[in-house]
Amino acid sequence: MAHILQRVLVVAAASALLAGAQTPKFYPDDPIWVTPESANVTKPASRKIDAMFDFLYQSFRARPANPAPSEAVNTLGEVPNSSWFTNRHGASTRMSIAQLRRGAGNENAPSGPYLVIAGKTDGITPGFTIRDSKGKVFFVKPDPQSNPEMASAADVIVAKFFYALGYNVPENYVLKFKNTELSIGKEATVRGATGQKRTMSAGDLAVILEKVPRDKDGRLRVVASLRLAGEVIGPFRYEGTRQDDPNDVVPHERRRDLRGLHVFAAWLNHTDAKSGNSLDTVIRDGARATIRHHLIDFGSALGSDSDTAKNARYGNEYIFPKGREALAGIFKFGSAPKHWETVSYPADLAIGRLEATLFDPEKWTSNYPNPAFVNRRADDEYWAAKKVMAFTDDDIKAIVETGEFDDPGVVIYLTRTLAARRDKIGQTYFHKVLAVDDFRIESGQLKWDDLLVRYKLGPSRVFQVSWERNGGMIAAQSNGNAVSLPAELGSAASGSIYALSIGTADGGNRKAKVFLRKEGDGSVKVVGVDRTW
Amino acid sequence: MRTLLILGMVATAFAQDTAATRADSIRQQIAKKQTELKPETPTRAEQGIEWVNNHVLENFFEKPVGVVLKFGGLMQGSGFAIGPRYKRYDLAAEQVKFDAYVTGSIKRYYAAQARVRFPRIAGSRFDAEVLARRSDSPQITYYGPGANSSRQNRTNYRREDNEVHLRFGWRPDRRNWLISYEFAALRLNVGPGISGESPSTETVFSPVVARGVDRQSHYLYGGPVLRYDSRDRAGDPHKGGNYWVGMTRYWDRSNHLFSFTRVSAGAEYYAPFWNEKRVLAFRVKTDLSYNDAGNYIPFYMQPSIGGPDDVRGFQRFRFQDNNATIANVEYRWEVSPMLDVALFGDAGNVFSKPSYIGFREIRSAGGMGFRVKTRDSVFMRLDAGAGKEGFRLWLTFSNVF
Repeated sequence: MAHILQRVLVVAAASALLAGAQTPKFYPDDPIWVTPESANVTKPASRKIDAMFDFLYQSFRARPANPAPSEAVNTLGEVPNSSWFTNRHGASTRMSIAQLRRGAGNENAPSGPYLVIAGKTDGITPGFTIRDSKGKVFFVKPDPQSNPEMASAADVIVAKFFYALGYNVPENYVLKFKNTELSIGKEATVRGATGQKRTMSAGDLAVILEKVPRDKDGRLRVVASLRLAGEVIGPFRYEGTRQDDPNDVVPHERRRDLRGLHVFAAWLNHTDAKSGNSLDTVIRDGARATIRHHLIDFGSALGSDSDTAKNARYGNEYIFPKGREALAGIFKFGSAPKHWETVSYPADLAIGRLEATLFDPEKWTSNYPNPAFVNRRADDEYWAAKKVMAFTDDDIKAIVETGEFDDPGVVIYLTRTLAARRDKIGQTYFHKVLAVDDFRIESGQLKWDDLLVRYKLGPSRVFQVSWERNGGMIAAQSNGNAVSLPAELGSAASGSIYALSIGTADGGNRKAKVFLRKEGDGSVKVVGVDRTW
Repeated sequence: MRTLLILGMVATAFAQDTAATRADSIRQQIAKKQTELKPETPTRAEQGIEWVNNHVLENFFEKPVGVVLKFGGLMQGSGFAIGPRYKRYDLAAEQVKFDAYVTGSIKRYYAAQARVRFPRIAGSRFDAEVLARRSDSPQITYYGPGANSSRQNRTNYRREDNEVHLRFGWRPDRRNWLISYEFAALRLNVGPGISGESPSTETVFSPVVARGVDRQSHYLYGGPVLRYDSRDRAGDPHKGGNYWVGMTRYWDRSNHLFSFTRVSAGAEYYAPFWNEKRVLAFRVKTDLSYNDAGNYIPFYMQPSIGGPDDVRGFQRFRFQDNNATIANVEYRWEVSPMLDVALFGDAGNVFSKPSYIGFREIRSAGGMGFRVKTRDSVFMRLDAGAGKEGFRLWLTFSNVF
């Protein structure tokens, strides 16, 4: 009898489990805008990611055929604030021009004289570390002699764009100084050819400085990157989770903020978007410690490839072509140029290789496959495209000007080029899904914006709409970009969910379903958006 | 008992789905992960690559201080060569670099060399180098002098060198211009070759034909070189040029029979198109030798053509004489940043007097090559050249130009 009772209990509990395990589509606090990263990080290990391994592994592994939907999003499809991402500049919440120019900081600009406390004489781009007169520490990298201004400007400009887009980045500054403002600290060390640290000599500094281009006043120009706050624990991966970070629960290749980064990287030609150009730090606030995730090193963005102008291939093809492409490349004897091989670039050395005529966001690639990028879906691209389109020409110009180019023509070119690339991103991704957004309840109607119209990318459209409630359809008629709320919603119980399906006659599967919830106070709230394509 | 365990698990699972809010739901995921934390560890594959990097590449090839492996380092044609190399690139705060190696090949060539370099004097405006070397090359090919030497006359000889070499360079603009002067003492011994595939040189060629085959000569030599180098990357140039002219005076200190002056000049030019994904590369170079009155240029000091670095459809050292001129053109296209392919045409001639310089008796070849590249240089090259004397396949670990 007891045996039977136990079994009955198990069945009952399992039934309850099944009933309870059905995660509700909407919780009362949906849509959330802040991710509760509640746990304390205790002993995060510092780690390295082997650059060669990352390159080989990502280049030759199989690509996902059917990526899963993104996570780390709210029910509207937006990315809530977290240690990865902060909503800063968008269509509705906007940063001022001054804030865009300020980026991650601007209150901490280096002020001379500067004490060199460390250096690196080997490697592709030698650099050094300085402590300024206020005691702040900056990592300093020069431009290549072949392209003065190019890499330092890219590092500064793109950091500000990524900051406005929502990422954690270092404060980067264009720093111009004379040799006389620089002295070597008594405890300065250098990591030279041996890879070992040793005391830095005047000769070491001379080796570094002789490669730094001078401006017309004889000043050296570099990018100075303020040391990030917190304890550095190495880069993050674009897949999986950190095993020692309890708050890191969403596999990175499924994070919309990392998938969507593909679109941002395409816009800004940040071809070197890889783990090696990221950095995690532990931020302590009293007894609380969390890991903050940063993007760093944008010297290979825009037209720059850090130590030279951007390789024209980058952004257009992976470093390793597919086998068939490689064979074709060999046996056509180079006679059939690829589209990106014949495109023209401006002659100005400070720009490097950046253009908008050929740019196709769908074809843009990072230097080698990034697992988050290759897992992206149309809704990830759409989310990112909205962020990109939120930048006006004036916004772009304001940020580009922080590159401190001598030639105003460079600012004009970069602004125009980034604006054109932005528009291509809008054109591309606002057509892959139904680009309707900013759903709101006004005057008894559900209203929305047609982003193609908002950004002048297409004519106004007639939308086909229908209400859904408990699987049943309620006929509806759109009035421009609005539809009246169903009459029964007024008497509906608190917590009732109604959905509006929106499509167009020629839109095929491109539809949006907007979910409304009757709240306890009688109001109606937009709580979710699903998109199909 | 088992049932109770199941009940416990069910209850736990049930509890996990009781989140009242989205925030709670996320907190539950975090709480669950908090019970599963473990240290970050690289995957086995990553550990493997890291191990190769740290223990193989670093220890055996790249280590700037200590003993590493040395590949090559012998006269061309020596075959695969390997040996230990001792490096000290850390001396005087890396202002002085010392390295020494002993290397031997499967064809029984060997060399021992020690070198001290001062790469940056006065802020890289000057550099200097002192080198001491002993080498034994026991089967160097020799076909006789002139452009009409016969393939059937293939011989081989031994050459032993003992050399002390000083070089001093000045870069007036620290970028493109280089003016250098070298001075060296060279003790040479030439003897019978050891190859079983061809007779020894002295058994086929008399001292009248192969000057110096019967004598040893000790040289002092030296002279200036002026160079202008505007190439973007010396190891894998895509644009710019490299131009040089030098004059080296050779004083025969033992016989006073083989003193001469050699003028060497060359030009390389790289014309990129299609965003540097195609490059037309051109090179011409010549060595002209002016012997002192009553003196000769010994056969083992003559320039040659043929081999992987000049006229690739012919054997190494196939044509040899007092003077030589080489012209190459390559059409290179990029398949990947790590692989270039090239079609090439080579031509060259050798001649007895500098005044014969021109287009006489040109030996030419054409072919196709593959170049495996790192970011800045060609790491490995496979060139297939075809000439009048057949087809040659060359695998080398340096760029052609």
